[in-house]
Parts: sequence; structure tokens; C-alpha cells
Amino acid sequence: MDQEEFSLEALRSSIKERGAEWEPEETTLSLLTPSERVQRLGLLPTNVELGVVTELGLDRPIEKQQTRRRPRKSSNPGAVGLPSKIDWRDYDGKNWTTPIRDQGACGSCVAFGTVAALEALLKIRTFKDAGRSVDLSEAHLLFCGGGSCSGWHMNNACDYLKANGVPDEACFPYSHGLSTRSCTPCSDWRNRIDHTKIPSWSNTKDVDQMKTRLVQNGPQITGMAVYTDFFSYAGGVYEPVSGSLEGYHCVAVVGYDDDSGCWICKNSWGTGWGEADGGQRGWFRIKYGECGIDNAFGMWDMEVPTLEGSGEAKYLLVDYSFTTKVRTLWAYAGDAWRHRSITDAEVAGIAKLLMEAGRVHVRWKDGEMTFVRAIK
Amino acid sequence: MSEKEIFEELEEAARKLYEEVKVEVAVPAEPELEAAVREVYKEPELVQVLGIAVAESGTASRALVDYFFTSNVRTLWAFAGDGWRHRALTDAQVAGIAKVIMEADRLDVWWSDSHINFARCWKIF
Repeated sequence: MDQEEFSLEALRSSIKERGAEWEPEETTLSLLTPSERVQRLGLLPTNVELGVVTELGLDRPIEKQQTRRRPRKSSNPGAVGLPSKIDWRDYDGKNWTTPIRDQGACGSCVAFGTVAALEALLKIRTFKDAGRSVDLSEAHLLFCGGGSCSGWHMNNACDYLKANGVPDEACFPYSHGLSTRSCTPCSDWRNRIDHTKIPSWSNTKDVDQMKTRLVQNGPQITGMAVYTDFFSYAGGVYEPVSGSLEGYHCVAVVGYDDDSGCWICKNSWGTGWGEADGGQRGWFRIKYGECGIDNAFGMWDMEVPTLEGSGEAKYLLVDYSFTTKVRTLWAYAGDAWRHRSITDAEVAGIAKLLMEAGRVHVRWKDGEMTFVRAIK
Repeated sequence: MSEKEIFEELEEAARKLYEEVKVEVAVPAEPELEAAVREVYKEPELVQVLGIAVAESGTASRALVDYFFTSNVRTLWAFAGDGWRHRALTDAQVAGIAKVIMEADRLDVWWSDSHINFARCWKIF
């Protein structure tokens, strides 16, 4: 479908005809050529995901999806005990998300969607501080994680975060990444990955589980099929009404609203597109069951490290260097390794005692052990 | 290698060592631990402390402490990587790290020239 044919007027008619409830507008994305728009996507689905896409008919033009399955009703109450709405842009009177970014002409949506969710999770779970400034390097995740501007997948991004973490934006700015398109971070990036190495991640296609984790943990990552009319979205609850499948895209999910029957998402197309939150555009709401979000792709949920906590040690280690003064006590508790530098006297004292214990309870702050209890 | 052969090797190694009296120790890490270790021990220290670039490492199947009442020789022995590795100990180390090693469920050691440079004692609950 060319741009001329895809007029705003025709789009408004289609929206009205289908009883959809969103507003189209000329946006920075709708003004691009079709090939330029596709560069703003970048999710390469797995064969399993593509199989579901085909099964649901999502790969067909919208006009031909007359028998389109609508697996989720417009109002889809979640599991018992869940709130009817959560929006991490306004939770407890505070915004826990980070500002809208722009991936530009590179299929880097997976890095942007993943980092957007991770940044918010760090503010919510790790720092417990909505005002904390968190800006991580999408370029590092993409170019050092094995992705490229030709596209990537959330499984790979999450695996990389689990193995390595990601440094701050200043270490490897996105503009630098776009010019080199290779892994060229700052030399000390390993020392700048503070708390970003995730203990675990998972993917679910169970809607109750998605909502539960959105409430209990925070923002998640998802994939979606993108149709031509999405580039003209300016607000409301989106559902595709016109156009063809343009490709697949990754975004962060920052909430849901059962009353409107929609997911609330953060995109990476800058602020010249999308719905405004306060003053800033770049967000969108999408109807449950549309574009494969909650059926073909599901959501990726990341655990993030906690700064403070306590738990039972599963493993306990004592590192002892005979050539330097390094003596370190390690405990694996709360799904991560906690450590404490100890003295020779502590090696002979508490370390020995812990080795003799039947159980060891550990408290930590910022990864460092602050308390141990040896239990026999 | 049989138990008999292992201890024959120890005899041989101990004989050589006590003729000269010199020494050193260490162990391998799980992938997740390796990453945590790299965060705590920064890069130069990691190489210097663990000697990862140059040292050999392995899990010890046996650990011994030799203690002479007639001299000040105290030696930690670990059988790892199909050989006996050793390290001279002070009395304070006998009371400290040697006891921890004896209580450990697993001992990993790093060595160079059979001298143990680093020990990691595991307690598995």
C-alpha cells in the first residue's frame, strides 16, 4: 500500500467502520518512506513464533483478516486479587519509567525494548527510587550482545544480560554505536555494569501470569506484528484496521488496563509519534489479543538484583590467596553471589565456624554481606 | 590413578619438597560465580591474584596438612590435576585457612609449578 493510498482520511473511515477507538495523525514515522519505516522495527521472530503468527493469520493484510481471531475480549479481567489497572508511569504518584528514546534508522528495537524494561525494573526493584536517573547503553546490548541493525530477538538480549549485564549510556552512546555498528564500548565497561546483570528471565504466554508479573515485578518486554496504520497512531486504544504486515517489533510493556482492555506500552520511535503521557509522546495502548502481543510472542520477564535482602546460603566459599592479602567470603543466597572481604583473623574465626554450620543465614546490601548467622 | 599410586606420588613429592623446603595452591568456578568473581576482583587483580592467565587449577580430591614438631615446617598438600600441589603454611594459617579447608565439602586450587597460589573452599548446604 503506497502512501497516497494510505491517506489519513481513509484511515479514519476504517477506524470508524471497525468501531476502533484510536486517533490517527501525521507522525514522524508516517512521513517516512516504507523502507525507512521498516528500519525502525527489528524483531526477528523464532520459527515457533512465526508458526503462531501464521496460525492466527497475522501475516495477512488487515482487510483480509475478516476471520481474524480475537482471543482476548476487550475487557479481560485478570486473576483474582490483581488490580484492574497498573501503569508504572503513574504508580504511587510517581513515574518509574525512563524517558522515550529513538532507535533511529536501525533495527535495534529489541535492545531498546529490553533496556527500557530493565531501566524501569532497576528503579522499581533494585533502587526503589523513582527519581533515580538510569540510562543504560542500548548500543552495548545490541552490538556486543550479538545483534545488529538487521534485527535480533529478546531471548538473545536476555541471555546477554544474564551473562554480562550492560554498562551506562555514556560508556557506549547509541550515536557512537550507529556510526561504528560494532562492539566498541569504553574500556572499563565491565566495571560499569552496576546491578544490570540479571539473575534470571522467563517468557510466558499466559495472560494472567503477564499481569501478575507486571504488578508484582514491573515492566516486561514483548513482541508484536506491525501493520501500516500503526505508524500513524497518535493516541487511544490501538487495534489494526488497515494496511499490511510491515514487520515485527519489540517494545516494553509498562502496564495494563482492564477497563479499556489494553496493554500500555513504551515504544522507541522518539516523541514525534504515539500517545502523550504528561508532555511526552512515544507511548501507546494496544487492545488485548491484537498484533500477537499476548499470544504469538507473550512477555519476557526479568528478575533484577536486589540491593538489600536476606536469605539462606546454598553455597558458601572462602577464597584465600597465598600470594596476596585477598581473603573473600562468598555466599550464594537470594539467587546471586554475595561477598565480603575478610581478614586472617576472620578466616580462622567466622569462616571456620560457617564451614561447620548446618545452615547459614545471610543478609546483604548492595551485593556485600552485612550479617551472617551460623545455625547448627 | 589408584589410592596406592596417589600416596606413592605424595611420598615422592614430599621427599623432594622437604629436601628444599619451598612452596604454593587453588580451584575452578561455576560460570555464574566466575562472572561474580570478575566483578569483585577487578581485571588486573584477577590475573595477579588468581593468576588465571598462567596458573593451572583443579578440584582437589584430597587435602593434607603436614606438621613437624621438630621444625617449623608446616605444609598444605592438595591432590589436583593428577598431581600433588603444595604450599608452606605459617602457624597462623594452620589455625586459619587449613582448618577451613579441612571443613570444606570441596576444595579448588590454583597452582603454578605445583606451588599452590590460591584456594577456594566450598561449603554446600
